[in-house]
Amino acid sequence: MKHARFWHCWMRVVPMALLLTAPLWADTPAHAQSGPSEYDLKAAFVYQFLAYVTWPASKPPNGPLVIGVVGAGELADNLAALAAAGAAPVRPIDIRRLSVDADPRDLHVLFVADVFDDEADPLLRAAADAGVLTVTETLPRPPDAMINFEIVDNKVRFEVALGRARASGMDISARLLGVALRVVDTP
Amino acid sequence: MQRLIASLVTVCLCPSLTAAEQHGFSMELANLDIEQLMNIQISSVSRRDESLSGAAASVFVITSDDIRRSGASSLPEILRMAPNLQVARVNAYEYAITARGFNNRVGNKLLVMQDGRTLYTPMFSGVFWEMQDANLEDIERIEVISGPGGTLWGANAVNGVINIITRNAAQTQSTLVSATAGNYERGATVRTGGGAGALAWRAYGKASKWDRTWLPSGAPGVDAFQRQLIGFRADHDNGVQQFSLQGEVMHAESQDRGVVSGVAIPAVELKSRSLQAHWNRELRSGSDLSVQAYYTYSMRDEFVLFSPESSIFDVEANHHMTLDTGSATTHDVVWGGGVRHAYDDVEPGFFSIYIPKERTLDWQNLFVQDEISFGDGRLRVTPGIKFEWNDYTGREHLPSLSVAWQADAHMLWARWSRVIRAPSRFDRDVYYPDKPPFLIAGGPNFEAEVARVLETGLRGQPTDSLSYSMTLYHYDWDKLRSATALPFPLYLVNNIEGDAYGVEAWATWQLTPKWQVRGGFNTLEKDLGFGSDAPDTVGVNNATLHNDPDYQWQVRTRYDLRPNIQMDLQLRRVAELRIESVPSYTELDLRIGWQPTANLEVSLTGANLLHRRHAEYSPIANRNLLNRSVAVGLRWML
Repeated sequence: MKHARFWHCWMRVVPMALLLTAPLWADTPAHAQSGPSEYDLKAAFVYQFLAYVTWPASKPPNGPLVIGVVGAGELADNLAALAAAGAAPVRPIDIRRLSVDADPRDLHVLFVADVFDDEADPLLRAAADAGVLTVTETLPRPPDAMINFEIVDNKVRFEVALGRARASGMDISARLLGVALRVVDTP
Repeated sequence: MQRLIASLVTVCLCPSLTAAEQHGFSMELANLDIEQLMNIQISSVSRRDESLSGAAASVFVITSDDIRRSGASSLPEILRMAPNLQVARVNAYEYAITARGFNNRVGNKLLVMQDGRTLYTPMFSGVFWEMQDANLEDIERIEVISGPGGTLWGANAVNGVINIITRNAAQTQSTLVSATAGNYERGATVRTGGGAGALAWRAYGKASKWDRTWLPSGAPGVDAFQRQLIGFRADHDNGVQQFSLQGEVMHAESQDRGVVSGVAIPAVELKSRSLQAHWNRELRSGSDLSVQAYYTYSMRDEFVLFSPESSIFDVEANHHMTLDTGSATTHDVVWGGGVRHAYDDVEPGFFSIYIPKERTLDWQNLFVQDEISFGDGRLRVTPGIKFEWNDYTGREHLPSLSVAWQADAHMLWARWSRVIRAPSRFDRDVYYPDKPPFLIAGGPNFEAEVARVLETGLRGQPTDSLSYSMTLYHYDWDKLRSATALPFPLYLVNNIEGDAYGVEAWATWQLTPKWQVRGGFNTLEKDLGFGSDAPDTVGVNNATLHNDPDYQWQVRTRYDLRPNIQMDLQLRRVAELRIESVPSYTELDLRIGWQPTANLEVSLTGANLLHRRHAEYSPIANRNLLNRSVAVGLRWML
């Protein structure tokens, strides 16, 4: 190994790299507009939902908000990245990857991917009954889903089943309802 | 856009594939309020396809989910999933992999990269697949682009580019243990990670062991093999600039390879290490800058062929910007350049010798590509050119021009490229036998092999559940490698030319939410001949030029038996290899995965189930037969 040659190479290469890029460093950074993936965006939505939901008094008022994710690994990864970065809209968040036969009662939010047909319905029901915000992405909206994502014109939209949420002692703020695609009042 | 090469893909081939996908989840999204989120377009209609519907190229993407559900334990086995590649397993550890033909175990027309670091060896400008390992659990996706990529990637991307993209360390902060044990191979991977604030890291180790295969005579082969890999990756992302540092160390060795004609053939021993850094900074809106540097060292102690020890040092930079001219056209420009410095020292093999024994080689390149969108963006025209300088042939140029027309859910594209394969050490400096008088005395006048390529394709996603891609291609080959006519010594020259053409097509159909079927095929025809009236002693019907199957097809189905039980089947057929008389074969792989809890997966994998043993490569005299194999796997996220 001829290390001297490599140092020689460094000496040639680094100036060239600097030369190539120098005029650009002075530019001011800005947030580039880019199109994230569907689960990037849905993760951001789920994270935002935390600020607009009031949980029933039966949920402990302190400690982390627990988000359970069933069948959407990328969404769970994204939320985990947020959690790891210490991002917290209200309280710290804790991400759990769950199976459809999990016990949802300790959760604050449950997300179920659209691959389950009606097999996740019992889980969604148990979660909704336990005061968990149930979020899905299945059309038509499962009966016990409180927020259901839809893709419209390549953008993420959602329907809110306010009646179902209120039936479990929860409330959803008017700001969130204002941007929903539809709001369903019936329980 | 964190990584140099990945960002080039993003900018130039597939504007729909975005920054967030390049380096995982973008923290910027978390800073937007709900109204702002409503206005963001997602990059792909279907996350299942990681849609590359904007790319004017034949691109197939293998996702992390595909990798996990394939049950494959090595990179080459994973690549079997790409319907635009030809993958042939030579023995327990050697593979021959290419796109669009010219396959052999020292194939030289395919460029392979991991996070932008080339995996190639300057010895023959190809990839020793047995030297390549990766922590498969942390691969985000593998982009397989068949066809030339010279304008962006340079003088090796003649028949295709494989880009292995690993996850950002922010996405791998948990501890994961996976292990497989079977009748033919065993392996284990451990990964752990963590982070604080904008910094994240992971470290991993992997060990694999393959049993020997069998010879056609029924005797056992001498190709048992084991390989170990350790590595790390650290990422820092403050929202404006991203920095990553990665390193890997690999060691592998085969068993002793027996005695041939009274000569004991020792084991093959392989070592490599690499260190690479990427830095990316967003400048003004729609503009960013990437710089990448890496160093790799590899050593291959192989008694028979030759024993190269080589180092590569590479720095590249590129700048991407969107220019709004105020008229109905927009320009998406990427330009940049790079330098590469390589040093090698080759111990002679049993038959051949490299003269000079040691050599230093340098490459430099500059490129620019402009994607011009007209009107509403339905029509895109992309001219580009790369200039590359190498020590053997001086300046080479690699231009391309593509046109893409987007019509609702379908896209029609066409591309013309001129691409070259620059001479490698093998083309110029190989001598046979290992001492004078030589029968082959290098290729002092060997020039670059040239291809002028015309491709056209149609791809689309007519419904949410169906996507497809079809590509037709034609290569006009010139200056392919041959030798001079007798008398001895022979010299390597560029005296073969001709045509190659074929079709690549695949489709994915999501029949129900639980059941997906994917099918693909490719065909290849070649018509090669000598450019002058002086054919060499070998002719064109030899294993380096004409040892490709005329066709291949594969069908895969993914079925979720229950939400936590998944079954995957892959059936593939490969036509015969005429030159080496390898019969056509059909094989079936099966995997059943069960998640008893969300953190644990147990799997059963069967490979090559239709036959007890089958051959994929090599003439009968040195052929190895591959076993039917079964393995159980365990994957545990702590």
